Amino acid sequence: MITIDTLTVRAGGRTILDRLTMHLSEGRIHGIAGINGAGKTTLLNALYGFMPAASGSISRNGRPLRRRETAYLESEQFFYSGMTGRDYLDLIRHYHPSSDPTPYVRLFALPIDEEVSLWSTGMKQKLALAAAFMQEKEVLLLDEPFNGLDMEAVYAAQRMIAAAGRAGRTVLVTSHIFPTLEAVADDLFVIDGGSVAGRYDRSEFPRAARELEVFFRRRYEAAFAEK
Amino acid sequence: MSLWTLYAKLAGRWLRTVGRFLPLVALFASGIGWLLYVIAGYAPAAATAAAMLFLLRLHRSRRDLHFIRLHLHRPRIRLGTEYFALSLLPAALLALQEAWPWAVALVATAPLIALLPEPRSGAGRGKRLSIGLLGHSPEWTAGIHRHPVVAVLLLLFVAGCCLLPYFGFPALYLAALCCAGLYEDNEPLQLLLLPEQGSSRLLRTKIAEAWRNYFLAASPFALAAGLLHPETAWLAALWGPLAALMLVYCIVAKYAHYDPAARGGSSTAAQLGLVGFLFPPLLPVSLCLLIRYAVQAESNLDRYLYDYD
Repeated sequence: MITIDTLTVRAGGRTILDRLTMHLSEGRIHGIAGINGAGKTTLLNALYGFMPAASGSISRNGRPLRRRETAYLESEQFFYSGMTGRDYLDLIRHYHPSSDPTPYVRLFALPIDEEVSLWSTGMKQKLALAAAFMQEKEVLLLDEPFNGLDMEAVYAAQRMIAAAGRAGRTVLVTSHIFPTLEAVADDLFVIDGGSVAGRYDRSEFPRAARELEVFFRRRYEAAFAEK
Repeated sequence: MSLWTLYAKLAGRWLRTVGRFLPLVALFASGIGWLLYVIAGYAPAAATAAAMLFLLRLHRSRRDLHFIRLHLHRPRIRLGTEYFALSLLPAALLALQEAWPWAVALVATAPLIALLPEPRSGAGRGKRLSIGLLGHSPEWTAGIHRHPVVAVLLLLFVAGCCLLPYFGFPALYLAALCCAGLYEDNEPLQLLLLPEQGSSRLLRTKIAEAWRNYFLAASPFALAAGLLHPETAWLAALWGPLAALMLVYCIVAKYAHYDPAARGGSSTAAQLGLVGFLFPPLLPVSLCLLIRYAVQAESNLDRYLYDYD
């Protein structure tokens, strides 16, 4: 069980996560939805240790969550200029000898002998996905994994996430698009204003969709009413 | 839309882009034509070669080849016709200089350019040095891939210097300075975390990679310099330790200031510290800086690698 207990994260004098509490069961796929700026990326950054917690704690089975057991797919991909896809995959295989890039290269038709910085956004995302899944970590943090992907790649990514869940890995997937999460997640956390606004099990997803629609409609109508 | 309509539209767009600079562009083009005409008078072979090179360059750099291949019936004939039409003007200039055989040769060979294989997209194509050969060092791999011509020129320069007495080892030392430049840019944080090593172990790995790559590449030249000019072999005793220290200095200076959000690595002060490795009276200053940066690098990296080792 991954426990996030009253986590508060501040950056630039602003509170981004405000006493956020979540209990994430092991071996399940947890969807995290929310509008832009809700705090999804900050939550994953805090889980991976990229952002320090002002207060609260993150633990896994009673001890701090360690990076060694976690793979993180960041929403923005930064690649070292001059390196090819093959270089990246070889480097990962060097440090994680059990990993095998072949199925991912075949699945995504990656042009691995070309320089990554020249690839399209979608191709870079595919390489980053391959890198995150290849490492075979127990916990997978995927921040907007479907960004920039074509329809086939979205399908493939969803299958990969589902397979990771079946293999007993704990997956946290964020997205600002509900239907992409609906297809893979076992449960869904909706984050708004830096805290959990709602939690839904798989059977409650239709209700979540309805509630989200009502919420968005209210905001839309309020915005135009003010105008 | 037919291809010719498309070309007409593209030409119209180009004319609009050039706008009021059209006379200047026309003047420049006629200047090139005049130059070609003059060259054709003195050396028709050179003028023909220049025209062929221009057409080859056009073929290699154009981006519509894939489009043409997909959408046109007999694309190579269409391309051949284009190159034939483009070769008519330089051929006419050659003919005006009465270099008829060269003009005919140009017109006859230009369409053959269309038979060349389509260049693959992206700059990073073809066979490259694999990361495994470079000791799995992202810095060396990226640096050599980014500047392959510089790498080859450096090797040629060092090889040439090794033939001259007293030049071989200083050239190898300069090459070490160039290699130190590979550690200028900060790598993304994910790449830093990939080895899953603590700060001191990561620094040791980086230094070992740098020494391995540099001395493996330099040793044949050092051997050649020592064998060709045995009287200069004593310089190796200076070159080896100083080159090794300079590489260590660059690595620790980079990680002492490492910040994944900033592109550039070491500070200006750290770069100035390199002067000590070129100007011996300042060497003690650089060595002191090296120790200071080594300590600073370890504590700076601990911010990112705190839960490894």
